[in-house]
Amino acid sequence: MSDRCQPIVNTTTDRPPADAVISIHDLCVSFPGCDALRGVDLQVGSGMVFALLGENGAGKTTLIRCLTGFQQPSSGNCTVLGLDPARDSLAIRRRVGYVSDAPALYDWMRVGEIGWFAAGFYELGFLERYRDLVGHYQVPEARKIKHLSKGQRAKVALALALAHDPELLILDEPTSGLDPLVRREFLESMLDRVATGRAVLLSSHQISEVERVADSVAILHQGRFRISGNLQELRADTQEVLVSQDDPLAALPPLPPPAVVLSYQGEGRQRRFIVRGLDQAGAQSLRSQPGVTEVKTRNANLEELFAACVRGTGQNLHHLSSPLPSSSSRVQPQSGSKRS
Amino acid sequence: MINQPSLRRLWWKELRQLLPLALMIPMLMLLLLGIVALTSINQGNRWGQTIASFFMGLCLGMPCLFSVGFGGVAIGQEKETRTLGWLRSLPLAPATVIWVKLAAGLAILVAMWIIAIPLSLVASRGATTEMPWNDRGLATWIIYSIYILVIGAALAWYCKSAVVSLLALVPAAIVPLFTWEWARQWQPLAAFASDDRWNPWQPGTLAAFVVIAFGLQWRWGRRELGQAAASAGWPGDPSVAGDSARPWDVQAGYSLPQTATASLLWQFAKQNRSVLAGCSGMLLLASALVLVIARGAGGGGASWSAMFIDGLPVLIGALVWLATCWLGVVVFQGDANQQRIRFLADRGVSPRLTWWARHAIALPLLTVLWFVFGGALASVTVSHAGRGAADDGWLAVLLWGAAPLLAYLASQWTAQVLRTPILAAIVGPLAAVLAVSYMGFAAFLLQAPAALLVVCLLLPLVITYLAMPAWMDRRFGRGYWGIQWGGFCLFFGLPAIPLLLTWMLTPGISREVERQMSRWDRSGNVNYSPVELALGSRPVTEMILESLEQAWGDQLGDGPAPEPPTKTWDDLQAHHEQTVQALAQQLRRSGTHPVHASSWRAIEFLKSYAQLSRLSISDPTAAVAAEDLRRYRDAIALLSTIAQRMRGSVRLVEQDLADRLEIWLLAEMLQPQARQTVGGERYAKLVASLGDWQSRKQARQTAVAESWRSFDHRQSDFGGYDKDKLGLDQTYGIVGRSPAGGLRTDVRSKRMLGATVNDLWALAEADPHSDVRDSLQRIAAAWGTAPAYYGLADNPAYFRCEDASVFTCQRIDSWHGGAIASQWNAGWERQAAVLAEAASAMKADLKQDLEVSPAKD
Repeated sequence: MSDRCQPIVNTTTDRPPADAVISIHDLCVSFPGCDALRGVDLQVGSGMVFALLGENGAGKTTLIRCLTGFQQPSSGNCTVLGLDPARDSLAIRRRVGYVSDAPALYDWMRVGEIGWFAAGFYELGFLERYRDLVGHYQVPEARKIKHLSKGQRAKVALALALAHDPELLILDEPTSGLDPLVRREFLESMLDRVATGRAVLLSSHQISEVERVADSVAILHQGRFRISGNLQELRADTQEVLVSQDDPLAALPPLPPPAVVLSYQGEGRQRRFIVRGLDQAGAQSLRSQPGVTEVKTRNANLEELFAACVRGTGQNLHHLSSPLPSSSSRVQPQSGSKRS
Repeated sequence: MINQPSLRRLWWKELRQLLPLALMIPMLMLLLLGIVALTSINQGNRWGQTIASFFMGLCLGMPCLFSVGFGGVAIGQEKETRTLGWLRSLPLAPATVIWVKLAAGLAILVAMWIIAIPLSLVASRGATTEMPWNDRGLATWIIYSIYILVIGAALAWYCKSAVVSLLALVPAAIVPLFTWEWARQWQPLAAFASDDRWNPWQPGTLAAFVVIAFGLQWRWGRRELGQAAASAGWPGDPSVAGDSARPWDVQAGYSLPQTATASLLWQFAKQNRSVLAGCSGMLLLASALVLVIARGAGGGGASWSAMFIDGLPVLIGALVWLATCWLGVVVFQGDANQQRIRFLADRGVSPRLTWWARHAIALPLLTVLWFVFGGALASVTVSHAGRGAADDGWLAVLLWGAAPLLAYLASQWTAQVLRTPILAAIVGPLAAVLAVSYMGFAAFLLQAPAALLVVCLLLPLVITYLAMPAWMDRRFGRGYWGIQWGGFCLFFGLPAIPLLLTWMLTPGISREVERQMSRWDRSGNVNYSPVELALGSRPVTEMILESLEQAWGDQLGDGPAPEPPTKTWDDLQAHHEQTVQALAQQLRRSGTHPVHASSWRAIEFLKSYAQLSRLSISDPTAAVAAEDLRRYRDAIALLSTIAQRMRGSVRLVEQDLADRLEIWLLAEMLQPQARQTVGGERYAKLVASLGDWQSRKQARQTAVAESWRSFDHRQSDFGGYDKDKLGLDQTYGIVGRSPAGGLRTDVRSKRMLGATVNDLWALAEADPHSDVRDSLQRIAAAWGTAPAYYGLADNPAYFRCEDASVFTCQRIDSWHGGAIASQWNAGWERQAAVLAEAASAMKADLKQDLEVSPAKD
């Protein structure tokens, strides 16, 4: 098991590590008639891409708004770069680069103008870096924002977010609606950031691209983390299990611990599980159960894991395995990680 | 061809979209009406007329206001929220969208007119002014509202920003006015345009303008909804290759970054340059029009028509007001548009700095423009009314300086509260009217202190400053609305606090006394229709002087006084006799009605007449003693009657005059030979009447209760006393004494008067032997008169009668009229009681003697 990602079962009593870029403890946000976040714990270190996955309305944007100080939590606390968003939201926003899915830009300004304008709010060097970035993205500086294509607007937004060399880059579904080439450029720029020891928090439901760049992921569902940890470990630890039985009406025996069933589908004599923590012995044990004619296993991909986490909730899976281990995570970087 | 369900849904959508505007305008108007009702609360009978006049104006103004907002709400707002793009994506012909929008607006306008015209007709019956037009004027006004609606729609199609379209509507709206005037002065059209007998010129011209506006809105609407022309948008912009080659940043001076403040100032100025320029133009135009009026009134230059000159002040007012308010609106709405402010919020730009940067441009610009406008106004004032008036003019400018500042501040507050720019641009000026009206109400009627008014004036600024972080972050939670609502309550509540404090801290009438007095009122013994005793057409003194002058001629001067001419003296005697008989006749005719206090000249005359007669009797050389005795008795009888009739009055002033008269009568009754002079039976009756303190007490209690009940502050009358000349009123706030009075002054004087009524009631209830010094002390203090008048000084018997035989301050006209109830429970009442007892005992003795005497015989 890699030491790069250390999921922790209970972080509520732990102090945040000194190098934690993001530290969240029991964060709850309630709106009238809706609990957007229900006790979220998270620690994110520097030098990594942390991906926040979840379907629409899962609470991703609310969590990001809390981190950037746009949203007051109902309870719990969080720190970003060691600062409290409730008190130091402006300082956080100055040190963080933030790109939303619909970035607010002054569309009457030119591309160069908006960089020049934004440079007034940051340290020296912003304008030069911004110009380098828009040059790199091949966005014409003299063009007005309102005349840019959607991809170009996203590039300008990213350039503006990166030009002050932020310690943390927060991207809230930044690639939605972009073409594959632009998306690729976008993701590559994130990897460049991580290479320099900066952290990136990426909120998305584009699972394939997350899978390409993320070091760690957390899946948010109905305001809670369903699963979180190092991506490679999660992939290695999560399996799709196909069980064939001779009697379609026969009850399936519980999976041996430490296996945890994330989702379950039954069709005729065949049962399909997404399972975490099923080792060889466990699989062997399952094969030896009476009535089980065949057991096939393979590693699940992130999309299957995501679907399992999202669909699995609400089904009564406790008779199949022990409860899910954690809704909290601590994610630390691992040096020398290799991405596909 | 469009199908019917689609058309119906489009109709529904447009009407639903316009409904908030159509409902909001009457609501705001009603709010304005409420403020006007409050501010004119002290107008007495004219209150209803004022309200009716204002209501009539509101009814006629509402449809036009809807027309003003239509383009922005129906079209401009859709552009800003980008729903027009979605509408374009539907299978609808552009013409359908254009005409349905316009038809929906016209339908609501017609509905508003159908409601407004009957309402304004009803209101005009109670108003001081008539409907401000004839049938042609009404038609012109209706066509004008249609023109505003259609040209507003055209401009909304044309302009990219709804606020800019609203700004452009101002010059478009005044074009007809200038066209009429231009036509009147242009020779070929002058005769036709100036004919007032049947003049279709104005409605005809307006109709032509409506047609042009229809054409424009059709053309511009189709252009907006149709396919983009090849020259628009992208290709018009430099190509990518060209962009890269162009050293635009060097040309524009954007090579080096600047400070955050400078960036924000640049961004605000550039982003809102159209609105800033438009507002500046409007204020400068208003200044120029002021000079046009000055020239027109002065007879110089072009001969403007009366209608043009009369209409210009309204136009100037509208220009100035809208420009001021829109400068306030643009402070926040420039950034709220399409949530541009998120750009700054995402980058952690300080909300305080952003707030300052917005005001740092708008407020100085407003100040400069108002300085120019104020200068134009002042120059006109100086040239027409002279420098003396200019002093007042400058004062007016100073006073009016607060109004535009408040209008600006209220508008920027409205712009922060409302999230739609177009709505803010429409509501802002109305909200500013509300705020300024309320401040006027607070200053003139609530009489709030100047410091508090300044606090209220600056409150909108403080509120937007405090709410700025939440507004920038779009955190519209409890904290944000707490600030906004708290500010709203403070703005309207703070000026009322002094009034409440005055009410709470000023001692008033006690409940017990009020209860007792209400019981007294219910006794129903109130019938006050007094009679005024008149001395005749010519004052006696004048007649005497005239007679003496005729008789003595030039003999007046140094040396011994000449003898009065006998004939003149006899004439005077005869005149006096006639006057006494006339007074007696007046008294007889008036039945039992009380004598009014204004009869004091007659009383003084009768007193002098009686005294002169008495002196003649006592003069041994007098040849006609019997005649004098008769005169004396007649005068005493009349004065006695007057005193009794004054006691019947329900006013305190007559009770006090009756005191004065009774003191004089008592002094007469205390003369050595009074019984003989007055006559035994008359003397006994008079003395008994003077000693009847129970009746006097009852009369005073009635007067206190009735004076309090009928206390009318607006006429400054309390029991016949002119309260304004006394010390009850207090000047508050910035207003010395407003013509309409002030609620705070009213409340304070009412409360203080109530406290005084407590003491008056206690005095009236006390028997003649009670110690009432404390009550007198309080009455003197509250009434603002010197304690000496109540016998509370070194020489207590000088003003307050403790002994009628030595009381010198007898004349009513020398009585210091402010001293209410100054003779109540004084020594003369005890003296009268003793005299009455003595007279009663004497009468009993005499009766006994008379009864005994026959037996003896």
